[in-house]
Amino acid sequence: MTLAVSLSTETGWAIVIGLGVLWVLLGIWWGRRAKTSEGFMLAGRNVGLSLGAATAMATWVTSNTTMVAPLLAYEKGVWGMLAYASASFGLLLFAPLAFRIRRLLPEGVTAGDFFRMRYGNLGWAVFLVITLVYSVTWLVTMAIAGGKLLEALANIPYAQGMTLIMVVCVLYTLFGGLYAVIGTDFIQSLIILIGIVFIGFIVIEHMDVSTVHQHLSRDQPALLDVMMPAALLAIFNNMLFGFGEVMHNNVWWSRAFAMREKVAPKAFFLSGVLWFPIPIAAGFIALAAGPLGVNVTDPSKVGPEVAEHALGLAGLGSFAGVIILVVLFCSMASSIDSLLAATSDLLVRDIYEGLLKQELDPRKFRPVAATSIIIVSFSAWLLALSGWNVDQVLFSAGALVASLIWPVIAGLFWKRLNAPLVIAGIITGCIAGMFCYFEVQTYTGALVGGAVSMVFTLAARWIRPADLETTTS
Amino acid sequence: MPDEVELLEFDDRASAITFRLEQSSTPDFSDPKLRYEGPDPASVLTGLREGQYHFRVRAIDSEDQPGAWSEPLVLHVEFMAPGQLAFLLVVGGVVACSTIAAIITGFLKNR
Repeated sequence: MTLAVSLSTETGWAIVIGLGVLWVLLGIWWGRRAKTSEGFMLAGRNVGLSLGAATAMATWVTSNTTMVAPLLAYEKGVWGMLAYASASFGLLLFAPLAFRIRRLLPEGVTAGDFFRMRYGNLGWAVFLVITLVYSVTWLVTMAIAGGKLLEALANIPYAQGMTLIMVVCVLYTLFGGLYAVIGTDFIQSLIILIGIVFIGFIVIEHMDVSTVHQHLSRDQPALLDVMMPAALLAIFNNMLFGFGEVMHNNVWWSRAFAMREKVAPKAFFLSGVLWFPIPIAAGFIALAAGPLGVNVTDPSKVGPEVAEHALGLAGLGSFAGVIILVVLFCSMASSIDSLLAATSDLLVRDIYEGLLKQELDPRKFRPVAATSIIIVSFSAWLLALSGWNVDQVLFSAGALVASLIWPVIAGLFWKRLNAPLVIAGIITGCIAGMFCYFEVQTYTGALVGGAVSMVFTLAARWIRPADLETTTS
Repeated sequence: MPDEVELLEFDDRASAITFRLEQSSTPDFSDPKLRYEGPDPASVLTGLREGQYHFRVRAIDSEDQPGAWSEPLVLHVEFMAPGQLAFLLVVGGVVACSTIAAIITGFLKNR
């Protein structure tokens, strides 16, 4: 079945604009406190446990969680579901890293500060290229998912829906910086959790686990098999992808810097625990497609399709579309705003101040930050106009981020390293991982990229190591 | 079929209101299994084990008259070679475990 247009176009516009106005007003309200660059970029380094855990969890619940997790379950079965859930280990493991980050860089602002301090200008440049490519790719996938969702649910033309979502997120990030991002994330995380639990409950009401098992055994037996090659590979690949994404990206580093020192590790651990069941629930919804009689014609929409069908069976009619749109819009907005803020911080701190050697006085900060946010969002909007295949775009970047796992760990915990060898490992890992992604199997990119980079980093500990810098220049 | 998913698209005839898609393990469809019946002109297949599968589809018009069966489509499902899979899984396991171990030991030494 193709996803039925269950909302009128006017209702779709009204929901997104209504939520958008709410986020913008809250952004302006919270943004009043962002008077300095540290306030705007790091929310005054004073974020507590509940807001910290909520923002980390909400940011990690992206459109990819709500749309790709069901897709993985539908294609790869039970292992696929667990493979997506393994991305929570990235958040859990970032807890001890956050502790070390705050000790090593008490005045740090971006992940770029760390790479420049530990690996010099070359390592910093390699990091910037990888992280900017990845962050824009991630942003593009969410803009595409948003546009497709509004088109499917409310018949809003793709380009208009995608633009609407981007404009809303840009506006409140512009007004409030990280204060607005973290504040809205808290509300969005509550909406996402309640929405997914509600939809999962409705699905369970209409389809018990034994019926799903019976149907899968008969019609899709490989989804229950222990030995399903692509699914098994997806576990390690997704886990390493998650490690690489969380450990390198400024979205997470900026939160580590923004939280109170003792709060950061607890908040990341708690967010990982809270996030783990979400892809499992979203995946189970997809596995119920067959038993519920849903014919899937586009696997990337299997989650919303089954959810809409189940909510329809519960007699919710067009209200089903409202629930799905609100939950998915929140999951997209909570990640788009975080990426906009964190990536524009990189442009301000690492490119404008670091590379272009510009002095950033308080009067110039807001215009420069606003320009950065607009540049990042405009680039993503332009690329998203293409409407690429969302999961293919994202997974192709897995090799890049996984190649940064070991350089981050070694740079944080080890005192002596051969930095040029580590940088060579990052570059070789990216090339080898991309090659395997395209030539061997989709779920080998992050796995091979991470493995190659690990070998180089371990070698760098023993082959002509030198003391690492311990202060920022 | 490297990613264990296949999209079957049918000829979307204007007169057809229903499509009937059947699957069989034999070319003569002696053991047909109804895979889908409904108005959608496509169906995504996942969860097939290694082997050869045969599919055919026919349209049913508004007067409930079935059309002729399509030419059968043969789908051959083949997974990655066991040796290659085992190698990649071992590499994945070693990298994942080493990463977790490095973070825990690093944290314990530096806290």
